[in-house]
Amino acid sequence: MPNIKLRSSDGETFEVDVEIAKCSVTIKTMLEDLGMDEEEEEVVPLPNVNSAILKKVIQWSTYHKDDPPPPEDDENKEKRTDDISSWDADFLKVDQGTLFELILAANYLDIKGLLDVTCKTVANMIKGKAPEEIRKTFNIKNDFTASEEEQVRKENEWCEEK
Amino acid sequence: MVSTRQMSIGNSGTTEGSEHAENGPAKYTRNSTAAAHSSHQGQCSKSTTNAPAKLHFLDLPQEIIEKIFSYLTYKNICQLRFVCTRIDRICGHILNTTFQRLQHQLLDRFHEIKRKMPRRESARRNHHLACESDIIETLHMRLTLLQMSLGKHIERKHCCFFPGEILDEVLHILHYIKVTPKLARPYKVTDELFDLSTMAMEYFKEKIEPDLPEIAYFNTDFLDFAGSYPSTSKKNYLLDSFSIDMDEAKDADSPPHDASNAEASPEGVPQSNIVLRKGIRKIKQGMKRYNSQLTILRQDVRSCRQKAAEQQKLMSEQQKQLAEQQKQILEYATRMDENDKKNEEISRKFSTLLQELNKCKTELQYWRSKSPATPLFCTSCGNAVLPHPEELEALVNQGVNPLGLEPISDFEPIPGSSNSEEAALEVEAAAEPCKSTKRKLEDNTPTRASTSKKSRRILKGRTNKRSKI
Repeated sequence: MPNIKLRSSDGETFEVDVEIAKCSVTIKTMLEDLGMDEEEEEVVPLPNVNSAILKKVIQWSTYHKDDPPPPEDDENKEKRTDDISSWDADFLKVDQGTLFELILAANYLDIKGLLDVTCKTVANMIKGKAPEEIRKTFNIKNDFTASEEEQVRKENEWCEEK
Repeated sequence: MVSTRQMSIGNSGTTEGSEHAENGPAKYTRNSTAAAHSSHQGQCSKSTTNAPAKLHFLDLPQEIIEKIFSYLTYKNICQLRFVCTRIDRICGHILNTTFQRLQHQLLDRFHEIKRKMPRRESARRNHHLACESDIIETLHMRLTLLQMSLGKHIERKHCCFFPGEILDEVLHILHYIKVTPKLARPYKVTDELFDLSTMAMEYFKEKIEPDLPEIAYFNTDFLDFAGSYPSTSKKNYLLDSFSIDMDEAKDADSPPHDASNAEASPEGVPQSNIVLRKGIRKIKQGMKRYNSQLTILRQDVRSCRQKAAEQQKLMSEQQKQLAEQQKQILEYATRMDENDKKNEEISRKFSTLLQELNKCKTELQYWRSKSPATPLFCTSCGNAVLPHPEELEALVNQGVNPLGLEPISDFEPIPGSSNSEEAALEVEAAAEPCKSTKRKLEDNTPTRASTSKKSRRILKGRTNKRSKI
C-alpha cells in the first residue's frame, strides 16, 4: 500500500495510507491532478490544519475508510441529527474549540462525512435550547439594542395562539 | 459542500515551503505553536484546551454556521434570532434564501406538471397528477401571496421572512407528496399551510408593517433624479443614495464597485448614465417578476371565475326547479279548495236527500196507513179512522212538511160521512191516478174540484222533488 506524507501547519509530518488520505476530496483531487509518483517522497503541506486536529482527522478517516460515499444532500429533506454512530459520538466528545476546528478542517479537506457528523453534533447542542441557554453554551454576548430585540420579538409572535 | 476553502492545494503541493506564503485565517495559526509542542503526547483535545485562544462559535464562517443551522427546523431558526445580532443576520439570510428557493422550486414544479397534464380541464381532473397539481398550485399561490405582502420589505432589508414555520410546513408537504404513492384530498394536505400563511400575512399587515419604513411604489429617487438632472449638488446626493439603495438590494455588490460609483458620480454624465441604466434594469427586472406573479394570479382568478359561473348556472337551474315546484304546489292547493267546495256541496245535497228520504218515509207510512189494505173505516163501528192529533204532532216534529198533511187538516174541520167518503176517493185518486176516477171527481162539487186540484199540485211538487234528487 503506498503511503503519503501530510504535514500540519505546525510542521509535524504524518504518514498515512493513500486510500485513507483520499477520504479528503481535496487531497484526492490534488493527487489526481498532479499524478502520484511512488518513488518521490513529497510531502503534502496542510497549512490550515494543526497537528492535533490532523491527527484526529486521520483517526476518523482510518475508522471510516471503508464507508460507502455519503448520499447527496436533498435540500428539501428534513435532516436528521439523531443518527450519529456511537463511535462518532465518542470520538467527538471533545471541547468546543476542538469541535469547531474539526469542522473547519473537515470543510477545508472536503471530508463530507466528518463535516456532517461534526455539524450535527453542534446542531444537537443548539436544539431545544432557549436563546439564553445558547448564549451560555457558546459564550455569546447579547448585543441587541432594546429596539432591535423588540422587533425580533414582535416578528416571532405571529403564530402565538391568542 | 460548503465553499469556504480559501486555499488551493494545487500550488501548495508543488512547493514544500509555500505554507508561509499562504494567508490562512488567523485562527489556524493562533494555536499552532501550542499544538505543535503537545501534538504527540496525550489526547488531541487536551492539546487544544491548552491553546491560549479557543475557537469561538461566532468565529466560524457564515457558511459553516448556515450548514449547522440546516439541521434545525426553520421554526427553531426563528427562535435563534434572539441570540445575537450576527446570528439574527445569518438566520434572516437563511430564511430569505429558503423562501426564494422554495418559490422558484414550486414554480418550476408547477410548470413541469402543467406540461404533463392534458389541455382539457375535464381530462385533467382524472389525470394521475391532478392531486399533486392542486397541491403544488396552492403552495405556490400561498408563497406568491406572502411574497406580495412581504417581498418588498425583505428586498429592502426592513425585515426578514419571519414566519419560518411556513417553510417547515411547505417542506413537510413536499416530502409528503414524495413519499405518498396515492394522494387524495389535496385541500386536507394544505389546510395547515392555509392557516399559517393567512395568520402570517394578517399579523404582518396589522402589527409589523405599520412600523416599517414606507415604500414608494415608483422609485422616487429615480424620479427625483430625472427631474433634477442639471443640478450637480443634488445629483451627487441622489447618486450616493441610489448606490446605497442598490447596495442594500444586492448582497453581491462588492464595496470597491460602490466606491467607484460614488466617486465617479461628480465626474459627469456617462457615469450617471450607467447608474441610471442600472436603475432601469433593476426596475425592469422587478417588473418582469411582478408580471409573472400577475399572470399566475390572473390564471387563478380566471379559474375561480369559471367555477363561480358554473355554480351560478347550477343555482339558476335549481331556482327554476323550485319555481316549478311552487307552481305545482299552488295548483294542488287550488284543486284541494275545489275539492273541499265539492265535498261541502255533496254533503249539503246528502243532508237534503236525507231530509227528503225522511219525508218520503213518513209520507209512505202515512199513505200506507191510508192505503186500502188498511181499512179507512173502523170495522166495528163503520166510522172513518182519523189519525190521532198526537200522531200528527209527532209527524210535524219529525220535520215532515205540513203540506203532506194538508188534506188531513182539510178534513179535520168538516167531519162527516160524505167528507170522509170524498177523502177516501181522494186517497184513491192519489194512490192510483186513473182517468175515470178523475173525471168523476171533476164532476163533483167545486169544493171537491179545488181539493183535488190541490192534491194534484202537491203530487206534482213531490214528483218534481224526487226527480231532482
